[in-house]
Amino acid sequence: MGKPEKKGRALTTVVASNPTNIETLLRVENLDILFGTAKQHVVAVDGVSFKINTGETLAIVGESGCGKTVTSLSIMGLIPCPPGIIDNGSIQFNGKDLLHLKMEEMRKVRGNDIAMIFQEPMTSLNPVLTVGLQMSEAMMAHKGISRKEARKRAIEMLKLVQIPEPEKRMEQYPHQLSGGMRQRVMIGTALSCEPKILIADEPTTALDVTVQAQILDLMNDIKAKLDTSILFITHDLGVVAEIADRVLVMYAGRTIEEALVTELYENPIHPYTEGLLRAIPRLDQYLSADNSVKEALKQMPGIVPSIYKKIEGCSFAPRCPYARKQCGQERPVMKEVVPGHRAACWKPEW
Amino acid sequence: MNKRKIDNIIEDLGQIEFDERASAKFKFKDIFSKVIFKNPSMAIGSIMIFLLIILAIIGPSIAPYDSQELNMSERFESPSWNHIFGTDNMGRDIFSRVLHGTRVTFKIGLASVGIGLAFGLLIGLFAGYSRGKLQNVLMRFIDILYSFPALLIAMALVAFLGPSTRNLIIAVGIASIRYYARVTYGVVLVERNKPYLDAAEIVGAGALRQMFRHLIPNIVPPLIVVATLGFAGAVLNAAGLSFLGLGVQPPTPEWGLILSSGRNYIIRAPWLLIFPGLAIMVAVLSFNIFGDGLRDLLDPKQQRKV
Repeated sequence: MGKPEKKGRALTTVVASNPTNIETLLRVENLDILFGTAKQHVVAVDGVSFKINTGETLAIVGESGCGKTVTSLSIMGLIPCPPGIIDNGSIQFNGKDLLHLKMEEMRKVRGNDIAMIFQEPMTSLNPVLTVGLQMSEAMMAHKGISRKEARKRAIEMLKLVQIPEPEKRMEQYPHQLSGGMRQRVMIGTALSCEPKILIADEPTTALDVTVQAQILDLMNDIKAKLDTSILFITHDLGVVAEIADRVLVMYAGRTIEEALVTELYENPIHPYTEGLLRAIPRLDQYLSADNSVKEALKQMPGIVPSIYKKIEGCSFAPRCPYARKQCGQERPVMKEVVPGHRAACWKPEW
Repeated sequence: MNKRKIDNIIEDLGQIEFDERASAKFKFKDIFSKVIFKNPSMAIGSIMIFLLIILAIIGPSIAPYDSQELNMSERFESPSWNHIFGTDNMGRDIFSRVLHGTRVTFKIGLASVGIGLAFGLLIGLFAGYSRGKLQNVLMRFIDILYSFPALLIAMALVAFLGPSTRNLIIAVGIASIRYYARVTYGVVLVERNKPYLDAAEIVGAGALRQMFRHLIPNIVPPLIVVATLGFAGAVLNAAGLSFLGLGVQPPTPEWGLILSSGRNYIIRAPWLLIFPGLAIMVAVLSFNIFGDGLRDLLDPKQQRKV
């Protein structure tokens, strides 16, 4: 914990924690999302808080079913209600409370201020409408520009996301594009109205690794050009390292650790994060000179607790190698352990 | 350490991604060579429908006699070169009447399918999209319609509105709404959960825009099939109602009506029933065959082959 931080990163930490220099764009506080009825329900998101600053990429990491996608959908106001219930908490965007906006106002925020891209580029484009039509539609609705202008701008966006021959692609249907191109089109559409935040829900999961690398490069590139904040949702820590400024780790509906990306990789506090990092295969670590296996890949024992069970204390306690009696009884809250590095764990206090 | 090299390789690989997918333009001549003649029932059905449409357009002008011209000296003539389908009890030429009837039949079929499809589509679309109260109200209404035979509903409506060609169209159309509503509803329920709708919602499309811009084009293929088969049903229903005297009124030459007015002379002049009956059969059969072919063609599992 006393490890000296790298100079550049230390500086960013100071800036990030100073609210006068960097504007907080989106602030989610104590968000609870349930599914079911008031009497009988499961908790999908349990007291999640985070914020995103302008021009920053925040990655939410966690395994399947930990509430990443539900959190992102709630920001867009897309949790179907019923069965979804947003029980508690607030989502503030630029001073507006997104949870209490009227339908009409929410529609203005969607696409215009906050845009989103999905995991499945294969099915998120309407198969019977041309690419150009789908792209220009959003701009015509939000910016009130003519069809001609929207078309011109859509071509520009396709150029921005590095699609060759954009004029030709405009007239094509989604099935005529490859997966990577479709995801590019999705990104282009999402960015066409110059949103302040782009929510990317596992945008590279359905793509193969080389295309994945291109898409990540593209997103970094665009972020630098347009100064868009990105909320990046993924289960892939390798992807996080490439794109994120800050990382938020979720487990079983709760946030358990938040830090700048290098800090998190070098100095994980929560045992779950530690376990995740140790479970990444690395070329340099495990093989000896004669290529015999030196050290097996570490795995975490146990499985994620069932969503139907109520959790007392720390949700990770049953799998945690360091767990003590306290962990099973009292729920740890997110606390700043090192400046700019917060975690929900009792261990640092022992 | 070799990051730059790896980056270069990734960049090179990236170029492969931009391959040429299927050619962009759909060629009109392919409709015949690749679609219709690959599928025999489509070929037969479409040829028959094509001929029927031609007859509906030019029929009245090539008919040898006026469809309503009485000629008492030539009553009950059996088919001959003068009157190839024979004449009826008033000496009218059956062939000319059947030819004129093609146009009437097409008019009734198209208009009633139009009514049924328009309302059925709207009901099914709103019910399938909305989930919740509206869905229940609309689909229970359709269930109620389904608890009567279509012909009975149409008869009740004609009895209420009074028999005429216009009212026949309305009645047959309304009686078929349920059919289109159910099909639309089913397809919308499937399409409703596809991510492209969420994606549309995310860029700010409202409910109406999602329904009419994004959903309708996706549900058209099954509806085309249903409408084609529904056309045959509408022709049959209209002929049935006219036969019962509840539809087209004499002396308009409608096939069901020609059939009906000939039924008293079935022993003496069977051609009065055979030819209009055959006309109904041919029209219904060709639309059914064509509809079946269309269904095979638009089946999503088969679509790739086209």
